[in-house]
Amino acid sequence: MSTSFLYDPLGPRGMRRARQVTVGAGVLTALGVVLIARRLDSLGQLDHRRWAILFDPETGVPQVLWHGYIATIQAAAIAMACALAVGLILAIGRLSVHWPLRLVTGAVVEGFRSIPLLVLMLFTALGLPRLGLDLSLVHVVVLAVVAYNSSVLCEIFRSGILAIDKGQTEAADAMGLRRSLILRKVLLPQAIPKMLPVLTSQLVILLKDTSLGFVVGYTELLRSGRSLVEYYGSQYSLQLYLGVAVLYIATNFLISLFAKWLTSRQQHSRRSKSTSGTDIPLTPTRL
Amino acid sequence: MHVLTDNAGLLVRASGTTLLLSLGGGALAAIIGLLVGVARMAPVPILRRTGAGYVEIIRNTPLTVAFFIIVFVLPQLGVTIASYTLAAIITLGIYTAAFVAEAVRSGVNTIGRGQAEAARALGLSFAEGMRFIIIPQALRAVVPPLASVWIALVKNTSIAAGFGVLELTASSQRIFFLDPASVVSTLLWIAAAYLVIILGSAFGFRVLENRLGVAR
Repeated sequence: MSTSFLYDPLGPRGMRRARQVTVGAGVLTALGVVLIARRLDSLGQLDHRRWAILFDPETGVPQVLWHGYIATIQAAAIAMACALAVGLILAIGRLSVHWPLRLVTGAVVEGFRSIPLLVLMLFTALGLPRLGLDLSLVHVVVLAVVAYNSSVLCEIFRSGILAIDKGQTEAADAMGLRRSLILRKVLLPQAIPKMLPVLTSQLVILLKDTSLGFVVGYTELLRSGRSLVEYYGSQYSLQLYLGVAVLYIATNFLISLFAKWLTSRQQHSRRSKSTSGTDIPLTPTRL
Repeated sequence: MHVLTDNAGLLVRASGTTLLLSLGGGALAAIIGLLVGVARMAPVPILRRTGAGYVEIIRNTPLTVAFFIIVFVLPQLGVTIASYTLAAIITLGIYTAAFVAEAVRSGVNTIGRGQAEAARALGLSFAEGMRFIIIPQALRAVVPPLASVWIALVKNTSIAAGFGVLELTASSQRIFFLDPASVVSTLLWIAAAYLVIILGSAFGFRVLENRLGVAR
């Protein structure tokens, strides 16, 4: 961040001001924390027994949260795999040379992207049984999440593929590759590493989307937390909902971290490849 | 069709609430998001870290969990918000602000570095340079990402249905609760209402983008 073009590196006076701001902010934060803590204490929220419930297996809380967590991960994992596959297929459809295919996939993608996920989920939960299709709750959640996220992923794939230089396609065409082969061997291997950051943030959104399953009665993490609050009384809502939030944040943070690691590893391998590439002309050749 | 005619009053009021949630949440998100976005680029390290922390935490929390915390946990701490609608607007604003901040940051990155350097050469401070030079230009580049943030916000207002706000999605639940046979047609009409709002505002944003593009 020190290389930002928006400001010069801080001089001695700027450093002093920055330090003053930091100290001021620190004092204010500490004051705020103390005030909140006193408030929480007067309400009995800091009682260690209140927080112990999150970790004590005898209360059943960790087990219920764990089950909910597994359900969330399960739904998210199935939905991620399906949404990636469907999204790629839709993207191929939108990039097709046949206009009817482009038209249909375009309408599907634009439609599903513009409808709130909750409405889609109400439809899969309540509308589809009316139309004679009864699904289990996991599938209700997964189907709605996939319908929505695959359209978003389709647009990510499409813009990633379109961002590849046109010469690549033309060169592959000139070599006589089939269109499917161009996509598989030329375009996707170049596009996917570039799309990785956007792709992961969408997968994080997908994981968060599964929390809407609580509306249709799928006992995932959020609903487990809620039923615990209903069981133990609302005075535990701070502890339980905070516990739920921490689980979500930690999981999503891990996904983002994994993506960052993947990206850096790829850049690393590319860099080492390119240096070995430059080595060749540097080695003196004796004639 | 009878779903529409029988519940015309309810649906119109509910659409109004959806728009109110979107506009109120959007206004709040614009203010917080701009402040957080600028803080993320500020020369003072603690501001940068606070801004980055805000964005990271909010972006990784499901909106539903944020709703639970604002609507159910805050009253436990003695903070009560006057109405469910207001609570929903605050939640949507705080949540969407993280995405606005990201859009602002990406917009500022499109501005040529010469602009910031010229501002400094003229003796403008960081805040002045941001206010008079960088942000006015960045706002143009920020229109397309902000359009998708706005669309996401409109769709996210549907989550308020679970928290006592009678907006479009909640009104659909009320309609087919009374008349279970109409589930499919009601949901189709509600989806159509969202489509109108979203495609309409997408069109508006495209017009805005073209106009600002010419002005540049």
